[in-house]
Amino acid sequence: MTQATWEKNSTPNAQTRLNSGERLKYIVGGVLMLAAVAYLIVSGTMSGARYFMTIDELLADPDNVGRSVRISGAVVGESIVYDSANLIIDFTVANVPSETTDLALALHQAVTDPNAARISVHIEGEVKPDLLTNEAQAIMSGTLGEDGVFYATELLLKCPSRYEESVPNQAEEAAATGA
Amino acid sequence: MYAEIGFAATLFAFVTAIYAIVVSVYGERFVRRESLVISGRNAVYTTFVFMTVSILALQTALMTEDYTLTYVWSVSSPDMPTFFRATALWGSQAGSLLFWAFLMSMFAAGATFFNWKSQRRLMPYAIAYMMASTAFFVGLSLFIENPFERWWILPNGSVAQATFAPVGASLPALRDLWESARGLNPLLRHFGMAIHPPMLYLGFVGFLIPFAFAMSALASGDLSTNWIKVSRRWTLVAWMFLSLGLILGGRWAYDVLGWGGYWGWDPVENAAFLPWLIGTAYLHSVMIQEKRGMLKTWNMFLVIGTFSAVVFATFATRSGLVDSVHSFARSGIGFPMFLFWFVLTFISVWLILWRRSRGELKDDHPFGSIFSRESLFVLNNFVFVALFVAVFWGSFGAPIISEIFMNTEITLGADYFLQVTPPLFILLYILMGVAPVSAWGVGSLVRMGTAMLIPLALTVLSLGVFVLQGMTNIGALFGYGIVLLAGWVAIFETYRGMRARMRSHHESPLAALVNLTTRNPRRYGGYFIHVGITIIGIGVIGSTLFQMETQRTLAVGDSLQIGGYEMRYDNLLEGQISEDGRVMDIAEVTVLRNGEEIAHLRPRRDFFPQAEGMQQMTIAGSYSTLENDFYVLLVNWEAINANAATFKVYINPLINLIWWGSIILIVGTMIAGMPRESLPAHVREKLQVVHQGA
Repeated sequence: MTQATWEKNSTPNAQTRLNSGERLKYIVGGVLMLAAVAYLIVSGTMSGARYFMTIDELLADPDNVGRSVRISGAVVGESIVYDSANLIIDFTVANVPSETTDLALALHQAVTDPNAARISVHIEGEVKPDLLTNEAQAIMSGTLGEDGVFYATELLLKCPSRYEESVPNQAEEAAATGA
Repeated sequence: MYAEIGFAATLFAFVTAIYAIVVSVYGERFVRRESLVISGRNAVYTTFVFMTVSILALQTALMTEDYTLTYVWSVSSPDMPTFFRATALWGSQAGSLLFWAFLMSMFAAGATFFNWKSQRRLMPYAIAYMMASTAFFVGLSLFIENPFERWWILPNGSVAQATFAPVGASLPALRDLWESARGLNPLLRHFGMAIHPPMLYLGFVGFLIPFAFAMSALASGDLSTNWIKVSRRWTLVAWMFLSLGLILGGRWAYDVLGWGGYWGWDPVENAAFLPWLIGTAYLHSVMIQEKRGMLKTWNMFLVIGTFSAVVFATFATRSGLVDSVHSFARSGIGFPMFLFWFVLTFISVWLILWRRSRGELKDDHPFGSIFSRESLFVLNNFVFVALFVAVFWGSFGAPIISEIFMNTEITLGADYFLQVTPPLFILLYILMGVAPVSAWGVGSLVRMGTAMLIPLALTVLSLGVFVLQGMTNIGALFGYGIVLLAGWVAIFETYRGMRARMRSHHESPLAALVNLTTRNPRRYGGYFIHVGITIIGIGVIGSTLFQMETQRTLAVGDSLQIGGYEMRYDNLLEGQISEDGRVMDIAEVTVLRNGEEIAHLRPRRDFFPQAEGMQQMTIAGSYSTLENDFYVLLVNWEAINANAATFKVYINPLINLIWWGSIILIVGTMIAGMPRESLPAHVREKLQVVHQGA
């Protein structure tokens, strides 16, 4: 039978009082564990960290060629080419500034602005995501090739007009005609 | 009509919530007048009543298709099925925030009703904290994200959005609203998505109650285990809903997003995972305070950390803090939510430190040996907190800090999480296996080792089964072994308890099990939950390490081979129109194994002609068994030559164990929450001693 008890005692049980040797064990153990976790997180960060940049930022620095990065851009719908037999997708993204107050508007402006920087994206092995449409926000991980094409390994998409409230068109037209 | 009723009700709820805070604190702390405190309590009930009216107004507006309300217009449309019309209540920001506030007022009313008499000292402060949080969320709905705003046409012809009519404005023509109504986002038109948000909200909101009682304990000075006892069942319920919400989210992603996976380590997923990590640590850690009066400060930090993480999660998700496929559009609620999170975290931490400095959070016992149960629980806390830090760092810490201090944003993707979290999860499973055989106060490796012999043997036998099936991957076997050991320990400890009862009470096995569980529901419910977690773990290892995939273009009648299966393309049904207006192209395929037809699947592509932004959806067809999922996506077909279609096929081994394991988890939580059979105290003690010695 064990000596431990279930009731809460207000006086410490003699067998459970810590001596300085055991306390040292605890401290050393704690420090070692902290160090182990810190090492785990830091090494994970070093190997997994990628810069997250806009297309302008990507193209501005020639050192970015060959570097594993994450970029965001606005999808130009008419540029999407999909080889469904081999699961190869090619499309163009236009630059979206990093800080925007109205994301949907910024995406729209990026795609319609002839002066906005653009790059081609090439990704293989992925089924074409349903959200890959005109003016969608694409977040891609990958590498910029020497040929100026961005070879993506990961593609995430956000719906452009999700949760944005836009005015009902017919109501606006009706108002304009004075109905 | 619904807009006016709803808005008025929300406004009254806000007022009564503020009243409850003021009157409870003033009546309890400053003038010690019972009538004021009672009035504060009644205000809690009144707030709940008003919020019920408010949410019913919005729900009725949705069901009766009142498109003059901007919210109804933006999340529903005439051709939507009734089920989704109802669930559109949380289809977008404003509605889901109001739903949050409603749930919060409901939980606050419930906690007050059930505990008023037994916890008179804690209640007034608990009410103050619960209503402070409720008032904040009601306030968000009132002042920033108002679901009761309507469309108006101004005299100058432009369109405006407001609750009450601007001067000279008129309502738009109903026909225009009807035709232009946006409808629920197609991605949300899935059964799983319809219950995943409410489950998640119930989980999040549920953690307000233990938080409020903990804060009340700190504020009132009643630092006994009262606050833990009174909030225990709420914590279990909240934890269950949060677990369910996370698993349902994964299931939805698996069914509808078409990448063959269920967890992407996306910032919003991780934001919801963080409170779960701290909440699970808290669930375990409070046992120590109840049994041995230890870890008082830890538990305060854990319970407050859980709710703080909840508020942070909803802030991060709704404010556009980090980029995620889930995020809502940036809105005006970002800064107020950040402020709320900061204030509540600051006040709670300050209160803990204040009480600690007065010596009121001292442990009753110092620590026992390093292998005692309480030490293992501390290690458990540590691992959960380490996981929390690792996940927080990956999704939020690194991007935010790098943006502030380095002027460029560093992001960490799935590869970071898959490198950093597995060792910690393994450690958790090891603890799950070892802790149940440990004892309070003393640690004896020999004793623990002997108690684990049979579970170890059973684990080796189970691994033998895997090896016989052809598994040779040492890493996977190691992972399976650790996970299985935790499960076998839980089962074996239950069996030992049953055997002791059968001997001493001469009961049948079933009676012994039932009596064992009802005498100590938390322990045996907990073991049941551990079995569920074990099963989920096996499913995760199998589906992550051994997933197979292939893609082929097939002509009608052709087959592809994968993993011992054959899949034959039979037919394409084009242009099928469903009742909610979507147009479906359905491929019919047959799955064969060893020449025998085992399944007919219908992977398809849906088109939504009316929806904005996203117009198509890929719905997989899958054949699910315990062994694996045979999961097929219709990638595309040649429109001109409809004889050929491209398919992507995944085989996900053991993935259904995840869903089944979660059902066991739910049942276990319900067992754990059962009221203990009431026995006289001295009899109960004898039984506990018998259990321990057996």
